[in-house]
Amino acid sequence: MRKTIPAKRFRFLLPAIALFSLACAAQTEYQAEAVTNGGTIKGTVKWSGPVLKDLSLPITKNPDVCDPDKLKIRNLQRLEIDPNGGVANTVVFLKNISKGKAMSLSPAHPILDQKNCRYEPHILLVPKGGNMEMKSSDPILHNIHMSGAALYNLPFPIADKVLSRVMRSEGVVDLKCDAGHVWMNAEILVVAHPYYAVTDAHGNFELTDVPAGDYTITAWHEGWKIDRTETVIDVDSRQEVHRPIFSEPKTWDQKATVSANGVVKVNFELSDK
Amino acid sequence: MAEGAKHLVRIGAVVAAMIVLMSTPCKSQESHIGNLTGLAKRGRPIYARYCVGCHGERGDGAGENAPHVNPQFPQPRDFTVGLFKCRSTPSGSIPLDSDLFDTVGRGINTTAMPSWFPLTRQERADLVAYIKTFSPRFRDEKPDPAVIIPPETALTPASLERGKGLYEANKCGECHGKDGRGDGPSAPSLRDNKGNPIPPYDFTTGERFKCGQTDSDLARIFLTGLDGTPMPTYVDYLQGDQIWDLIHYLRTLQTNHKHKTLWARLFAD
Amino acid sequence: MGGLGKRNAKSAVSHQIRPAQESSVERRGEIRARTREISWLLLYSVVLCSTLLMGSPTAQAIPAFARKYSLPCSACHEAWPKLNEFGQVFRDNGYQLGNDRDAPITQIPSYWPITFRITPQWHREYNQRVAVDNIPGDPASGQTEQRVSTSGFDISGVDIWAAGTLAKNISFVVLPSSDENGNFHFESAFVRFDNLAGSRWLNLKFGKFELDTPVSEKRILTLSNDGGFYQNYHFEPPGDTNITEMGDNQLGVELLGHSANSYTRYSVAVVSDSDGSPNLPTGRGYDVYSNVSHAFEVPHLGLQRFGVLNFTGESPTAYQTSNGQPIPGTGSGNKPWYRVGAYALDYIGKFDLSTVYVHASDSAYLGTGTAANQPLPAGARAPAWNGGFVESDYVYSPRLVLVTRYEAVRMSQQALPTSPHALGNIDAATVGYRWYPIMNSRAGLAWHQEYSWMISRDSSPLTGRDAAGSSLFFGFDFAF
Repeated sequence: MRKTIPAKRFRFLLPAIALFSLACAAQTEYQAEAVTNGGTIKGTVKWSGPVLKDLSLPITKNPDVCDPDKLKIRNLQRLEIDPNGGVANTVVFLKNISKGKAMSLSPAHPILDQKNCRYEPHILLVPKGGNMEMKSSDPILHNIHMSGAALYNLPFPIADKVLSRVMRSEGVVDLKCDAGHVWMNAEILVVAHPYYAVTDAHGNFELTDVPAGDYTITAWHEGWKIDRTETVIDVDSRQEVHRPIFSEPKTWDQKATVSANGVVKVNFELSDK
Repeated sequence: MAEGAKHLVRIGAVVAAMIVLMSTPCKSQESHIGNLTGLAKRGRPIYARYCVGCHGERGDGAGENAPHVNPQFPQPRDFTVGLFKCRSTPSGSIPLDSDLFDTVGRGINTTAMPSWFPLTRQERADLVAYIKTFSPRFRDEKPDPAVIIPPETALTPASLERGKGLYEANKCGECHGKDGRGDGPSAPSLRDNKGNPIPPYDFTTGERFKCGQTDSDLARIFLTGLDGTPMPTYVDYLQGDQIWDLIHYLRTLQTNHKHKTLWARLFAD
Repeated sequence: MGGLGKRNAKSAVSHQIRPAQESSVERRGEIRARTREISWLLLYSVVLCSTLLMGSPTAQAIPAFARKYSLPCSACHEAWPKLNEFGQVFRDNGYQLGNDRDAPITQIPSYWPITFRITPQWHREYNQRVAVDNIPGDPASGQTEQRVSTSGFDISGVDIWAAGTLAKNISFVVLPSSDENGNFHFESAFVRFDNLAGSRWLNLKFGKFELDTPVSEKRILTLSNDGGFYQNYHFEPPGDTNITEMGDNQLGVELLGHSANSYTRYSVAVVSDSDGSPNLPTGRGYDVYSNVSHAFEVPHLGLQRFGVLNFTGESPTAYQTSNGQPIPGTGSGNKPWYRVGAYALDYIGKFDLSTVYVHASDSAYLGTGTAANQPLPAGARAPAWNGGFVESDYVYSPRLVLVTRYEAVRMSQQALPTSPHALGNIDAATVGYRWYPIMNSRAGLAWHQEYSWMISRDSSPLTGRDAAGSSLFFGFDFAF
């Protein structure tokens, strides 16, 4: 009779146990370490294809505060393309990085302002577990009502009072205002590692101090269509007003290899298809 | 053993192991309220008996009766989203087990959610454990510590004056109206997290709120906000005794039922 | 469904009058026999009238409530029509959830609080000792006791029930109920003022209603002729002329109070001595019913309730007559009777165990059918008896319930010393189940199977032997 080592006999159970550990274990935490001779990934996000018309909504409430320039409409900022085709407000990040430099995002202290009934900035990056500050510069009532990865609902009846909350869960947070300003919208991304960048007005981005290796780089852009609207009645203007519900965000992937001290150029082409 | 049989046995063992491992507590299957422990598996038949008609088999608020709930009521809660109005935890946090227990027992006034107080405490605790299994938030997150309600201050004219000032400074009237009748400029535009219209509370209608009826209940609502509705948390704006000033003022907006005559009681609603 | 009046009909058939004898002993025997005959006739007519008045399905499952509040039947009913603790509170609150949206003005206008219930069935009835003419059609041919058995498809009566609120804290019930031939009467009709002075301890009901009995017979889980009612709620010894029965709906007022979860309840009712018959047929007497109970939760077992009840009143023994016929409403010579009892309603996991004990006594005048201004028969005493039932309902789920019940009545004192000691004693047992193929908030349907058996001691019409009977029942019990 052949002697079998007991452990060997139950080796086939290993995949089950491994799967179980994966399922139950917390997400693999990002590990910060000193990065020497890190590389840089930079590039531009451009739009290809016909440029879509700006989405905008009429300003139907508090025009004295929300519409100082008397434009009567407000651009929803869902798709900002500069004359050269550069796409702003696109978040570019490394998809599958587990080790790298310590958390440092720009700006270092994320603060969201509500100015003239507009969220500034339109896209904000906040570290997971970090503090996010919020305020309103307007003398009227706003509230920041979050959905998605955070669910805070915070009022701003008094100008310049700063509120802060810890953003615990990673993911995308949608913002809306319940005080009748249905056009106000913004996205907050709560991120677990620092290799995130938001493209500037010309679509440019840069990720620095990237450890050498192969990476998948993702470009994320918020949805730029209105899927449907909620009709609400504005008492002051006696109008039907439509709160937009936007389409889902879209992502594009690219691959790149970063070498020590090297610079890799990665460009993205976004389109409506 | 024959080769084929050996493989079959191994496959069976793997499957069995997976079933055992995957059903062990990754999910929160228990609730703890005081010295009561509720179990989700005991709560399941209780849910099927009492709750499934409105809240649905999947806890998503899409029970067979949900489309027929009186239109003036809010829709049955969708437990899968993990947002609850009546809590003692800060805005954005999941509720404590005792919050769900209290809501089940108290019901929600002016809605189709009855007061399930006649159920035994054990049944309600089991029900809470089962309700928690509908949303992954209860598995992935821990509730924040309950808000602390300071002791109630004395009811004085000065307190009422301050309360009125707070009502105006915090622009409560935007939704609740100048006199708390729920007729503020923003009121018609308010929607809950499901996109259904939701009216702001009309303080002149009665003494009971959705999440209780005592002054402490009202204080708690301000400190926690009503998640899933436009009502935010005012914990950053009401320091210490200010919350009681505001509550004392709000109570003056309510009609007092206690001393109505029997006749008026019979014919007024 | 109630078969309320179908109890003991077999023991009340008139029997042959024995030929007159000459000696005083024999004359006494003749008088006694006549008295017995009259008592049988009286009992039979009482039973018959009660059957016609109340022999109909008792409907207390109400899909109209389910429609109003968007709740499934199982929310209020353990297994309809039996109420669970949530349904009991709803009922005690005056059919209100107490959410400030109970008043009809808050309902959509197309809501109408009406429900009906009826049970088409197949059943088999067996009676052991029935007085049968030897030659059919010829009473002079003499009679013997024989078995009578019949079976076939049948229909119950129908209940058309309206219940709900007229306004906040004003509730109502109107329940016209028919027998199987469509002859209607009002089983219940009342208005109730709920939460008087803002207190749930004061609720005033006025009209015709079911007494607050330990286990509601109107919500009984058995439907057959022999098993569809509680013997102890109706029992009268043979020859007794007391017409009031605890299980019959009464005319009067009731004050009821309950704690927030109805764990503690009390009720006091003052009712006319007419046993719920309208048009003031009896006299000017009143009866008083009261019931107090308290319940508490036992960990891992469920709710346990204990209570006591009392029903005290008087019944007339004589009427003025016109052309030999009693004038309704002129009942006089009221003589007292009482019922007193204790009960326990226990939940043990899925078992719902009901134990009810009743001790009863009627005045000797009632027991012997003697008018108050007449002398009692020699040796007449106040009949007294003890009885009770144990019922176990196993609620496997809201859609399947198994029912077993055993009931007994034991005379402790007969009205007449010549009566056999066990005369009128009852033993009865029932076993059955209800399965509900559908359970939603619009309508209800139950498949009901049941076997019931009962035996009434020394009660056969001719020979005074035990009279047994049984019912076998299959039916579809449905309500909308």
